[in-house]
Amino acid sequence: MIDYFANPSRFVKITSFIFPWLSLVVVTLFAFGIYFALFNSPEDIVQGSAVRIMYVHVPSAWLSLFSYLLLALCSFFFIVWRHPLADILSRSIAPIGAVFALLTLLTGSIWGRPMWGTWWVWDARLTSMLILFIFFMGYIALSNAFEKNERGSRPAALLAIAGSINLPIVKFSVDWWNTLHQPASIIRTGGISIDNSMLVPLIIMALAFKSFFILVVILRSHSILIERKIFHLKIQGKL
Amino acid sequence: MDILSNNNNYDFFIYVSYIITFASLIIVFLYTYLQYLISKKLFRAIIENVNDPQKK
Repeated sequence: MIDYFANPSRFVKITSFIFPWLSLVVVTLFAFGIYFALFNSPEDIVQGSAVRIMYVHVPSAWLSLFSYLLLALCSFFFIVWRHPLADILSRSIAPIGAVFALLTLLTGSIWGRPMWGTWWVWDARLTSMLILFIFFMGYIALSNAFEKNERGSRPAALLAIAGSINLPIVKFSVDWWNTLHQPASIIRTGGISIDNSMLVPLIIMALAFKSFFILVVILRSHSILIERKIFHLKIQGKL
Repeated sequence: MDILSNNNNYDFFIYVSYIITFASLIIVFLYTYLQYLISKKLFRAIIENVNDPQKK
């Protein structure tokens, strides 16, 4: 199954077919998500209308964790099987994941100002999220540090795998330490603790963010594939 | 009930966070799409050049 999809030309063929349909899904999900999040969801009894920031903050946070997990998995595939597509996908995922990690930090900070009275605290969750962002940046820097780009793939993949130790720390930091950040409300052992009227917009926005992520990763991987083809033509002396 | 409910107006914070988020998503998409279009065009031009011996 993996071998079937790991063929670069088949990958391009399948993703090119998916792309227009996925674009439609992204636009529809965002339209519904924004409508529900801003106009058709109740205010929180404690947070008031500031709860609406959660509908962009939480999906960004989930997506940054998910994209790092994907980055680490692709890096693992690259290290073990040396498959070029795994490297191309890792390189496509890293900058998008970094953007979502940064958005998580920014929107969290904007929410924290009215709710906690501060833009930033060196809380376990916030700090581990910042470290996740630094790992993304480290991967990007290392993978592009060499003149021949592909030389940076192996050290960058090793960094990505090493950085995956931070994922459980981000997730469980609110349980392991006393943090200002509230504990999990959805992915937790006691079941979902938020009302459906708030859960629905959150899930729609999470799906919108995820499909947007897939869409952009497809585009990036296509352009990296083309850049590699051009580079190999140069090496062969055809240019 | 008023004691329990939060009547503060957080519109500024909400709009700033939504503007930052969606502006970033739009920039990321446009940048990636342009990068894709440019590399595709460049590759086509190169292939045409490689396949045309007179141009070499």
